[in-house]
Amino acid sequence: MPVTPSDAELVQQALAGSQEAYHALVGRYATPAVNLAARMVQDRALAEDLAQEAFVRAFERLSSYDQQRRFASWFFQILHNLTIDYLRRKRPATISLDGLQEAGYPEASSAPGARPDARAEQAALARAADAALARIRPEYREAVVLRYREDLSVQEVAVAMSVPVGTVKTYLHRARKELASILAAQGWAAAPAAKPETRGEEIP
Amino acid sequence: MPNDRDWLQAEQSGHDALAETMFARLVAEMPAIEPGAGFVDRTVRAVWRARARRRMVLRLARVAAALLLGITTLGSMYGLSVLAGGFIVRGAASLSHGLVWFLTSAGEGARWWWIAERIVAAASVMMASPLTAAVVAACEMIALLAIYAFRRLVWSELGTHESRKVRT
Repeated sequence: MPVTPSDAELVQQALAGSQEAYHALVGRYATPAVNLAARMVQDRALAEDLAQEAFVRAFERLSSYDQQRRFASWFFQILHNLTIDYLRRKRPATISLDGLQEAGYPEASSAPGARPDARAEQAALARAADAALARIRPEYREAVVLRYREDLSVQEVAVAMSVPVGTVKTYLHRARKELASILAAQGWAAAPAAKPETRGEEIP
Repeated sequence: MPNDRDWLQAEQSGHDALAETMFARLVAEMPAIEPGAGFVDRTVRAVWRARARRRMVLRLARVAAALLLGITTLGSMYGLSVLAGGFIVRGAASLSHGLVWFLTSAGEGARWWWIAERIVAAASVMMASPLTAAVVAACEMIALLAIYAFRRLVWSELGTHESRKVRT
């Protein structure tokens, strides 16, 4: 059974000049990088450009990578700096839920409870939450994606975003609260059995 | 089976820890935004192009540094050769002065005033052009000391000879 090389091993091979090793490393982090960048800048094509630039910079600085640290957190710090620099220059406007579909996002549902199946409803809620994520502050979005999608620890998120740990916890807390209020405003009620069409009924 | 709406209920009821757990699960279920086809290949090609450009720049920088070093070295050698030429001329002049002095002052005794004058002249030159003057003056002093020592040797031989003549 072939052994999957670790990130540190791939880094060592890439430093020795192995293009295949860096190809494997890029393949491993391409989706997380584009995922994070797209949720930050709200533009898929631009997200790919930023992610590509992040990989180029990461290779240039590969000799300074500390192998005691997770490659993911080190790489996301580079990507964070790039996306923040872009956002400071461009300041993109908040876009509507419909606009997300045009930007290449997965279909955002604004009709909660449209599908009766529980599993499908969960998927719909996830999509709605994803769309709502675009409406909160970029730093909140970034903290949420890094912590809950890329599975970085709070300390690693703090290092990647160059903020204190307490600030990351604040970001995560506020992001949750804001998303909950946005979804509630869209009609996503708390009760598992209740449907938005029956909003207004008392839930025991 | 827990429902993602439990997150909303936990938020509303203030169960923070539960809300965070449910929210983490919800975020993990969000659809991933995948890069387009060929993204990885394009990226690696871009990385390798940047690497080749950087190596070219480094090579050019090394060549430029070597050229600068070479030009500086040649320039220094030319400059030093001019200085060295001057040193040789001055050294030869000092030696010739010393020889003339030896020939004219041998048997009359050392003309200390002349030696003093030379020391003062050397000191004035040293102040005007320190490095060259220091080298030349050092050579002059060595030459003078050598001539002085030679004179002492010659005088001691002459003195012995005279005393032998007197005794005999």
